[in-house]
Amino acid sequence: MNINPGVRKTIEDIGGSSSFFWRAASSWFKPPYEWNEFIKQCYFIGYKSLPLIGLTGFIMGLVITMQLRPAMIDYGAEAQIPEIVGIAIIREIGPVITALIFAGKIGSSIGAELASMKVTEQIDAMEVSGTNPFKYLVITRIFATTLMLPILVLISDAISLYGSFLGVNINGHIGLKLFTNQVIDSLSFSDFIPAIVKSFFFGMAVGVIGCYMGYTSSKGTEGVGKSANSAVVTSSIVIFIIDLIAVQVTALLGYN
Amino acid sequence: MLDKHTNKILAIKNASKSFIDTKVLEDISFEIKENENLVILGKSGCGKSVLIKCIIGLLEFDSGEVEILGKNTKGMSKEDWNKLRGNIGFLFQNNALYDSMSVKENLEFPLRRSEHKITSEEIKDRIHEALMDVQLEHTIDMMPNELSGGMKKRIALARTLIMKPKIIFYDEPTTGLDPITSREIIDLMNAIKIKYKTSSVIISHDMHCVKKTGDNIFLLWEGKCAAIGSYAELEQRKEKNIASFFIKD
Repeated sequence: MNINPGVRKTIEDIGGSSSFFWRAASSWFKPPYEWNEFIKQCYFIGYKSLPLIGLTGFIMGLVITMQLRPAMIDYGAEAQIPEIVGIAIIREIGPVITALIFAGKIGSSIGAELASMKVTEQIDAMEVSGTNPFKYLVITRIFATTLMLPILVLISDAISLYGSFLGVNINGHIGLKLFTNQVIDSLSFSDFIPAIVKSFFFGMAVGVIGCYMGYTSSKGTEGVGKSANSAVVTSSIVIFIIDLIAVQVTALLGYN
Repeated sequence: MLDKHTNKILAIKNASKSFIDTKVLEDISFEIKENENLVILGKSGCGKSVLIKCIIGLLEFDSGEVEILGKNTKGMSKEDWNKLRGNIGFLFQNNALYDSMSVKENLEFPLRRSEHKITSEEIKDRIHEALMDVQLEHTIDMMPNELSGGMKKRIALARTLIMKPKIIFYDEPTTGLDPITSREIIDLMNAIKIKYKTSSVIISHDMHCVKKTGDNIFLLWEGKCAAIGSYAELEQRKEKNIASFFIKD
């Protein structure tokens, strides 16, 4: 069967990442634990991504509100904007857009960094120094992305809602307290939990795929660019696949 | 740690390595004694780097035996390898300095990961001593991208020395360096041999480096041993593949 080379490569990358994930999973609770490197990665992956995630979240909330407003006025439901925007951002748009931005920034950076370390024999040097490079470089990054993305999603959601509040106030007027009350009233526990749980999986996917692309890179310096690119493309596709599965699972569990 | 009877630091017996259908190394055997330098000489792509990567366990021989500092490495566990590697230094062809770490952090890294607990004071002293050895004390807070090619090589050498290894593997130590820096690195390698009484395996095709550093030369030709001997001995040999390395203009 003739398969487009791009599609074949993406399928191979998803398969390779899955076996890489099992390799990581089989060793991540075994000592030694690289706490210092894990904390350092949390700082780089979480804190350093905050400005970009915050900015895109703010613009996302503002733009959704401004686009939604004319249609809501037509239906005479302008007062429902905070509720609708709140549900859309918390349940779906916030986690998915944040994860995609995260994949673009962190996935590519992990892929390029590890590929470059491989090409310049830094990974071999680590092994010669008596360090397990898989634990030091891979496990710490996977844990950091898994932990940091849900936190970034929560921050992004909050900033998006503030952007939405400003969007409502461009042509109308609503107090921050009333806006916040309307958003909170429209949300329930079952809106937050699935969104946060799937964010953990999005974070893990970005970490595993970024590390896989970098750690298994070949073809010298050319491979560095390819690893960064493949990390973003594959992570983005996997994020949508996880999102699709998450919708089905939450529906089955009665969270919809 | 040494073989008490012969002072043997490293012994390879009938080692072979293939990649899929390509035989890269075939029936390789040699020994190195205490404070001896062996140069592995051969054309590009003849399997020199594969050979030393197999010796230090980054790759695995398909057959044959390796004994380093009296320990047979066949089937050795990761933990035992880590202990053994505390006595082995490796200077990579591309230096392999960690880009994200300063010179000081690069030198600290092997010490902090060591099985033996080393105090902060001792780490400081060892870093100072290693940087003195390579005459680059002023670079301690610099990042690798701020260093010249020669300086990177010296820092990589300092990182190799910091664990006070008994045997050092040099993978093409003078490749890509200008003749003056190249000579400085060769002098440094010889000074290290005298000061720390190390043995070395040196991969090179720089004949000046081969002549100045090698007590013995192992000539690798198409994955097999073509000759072993001193520079003066091999220089006299008439076989075409051996003589081709010693042609004078």
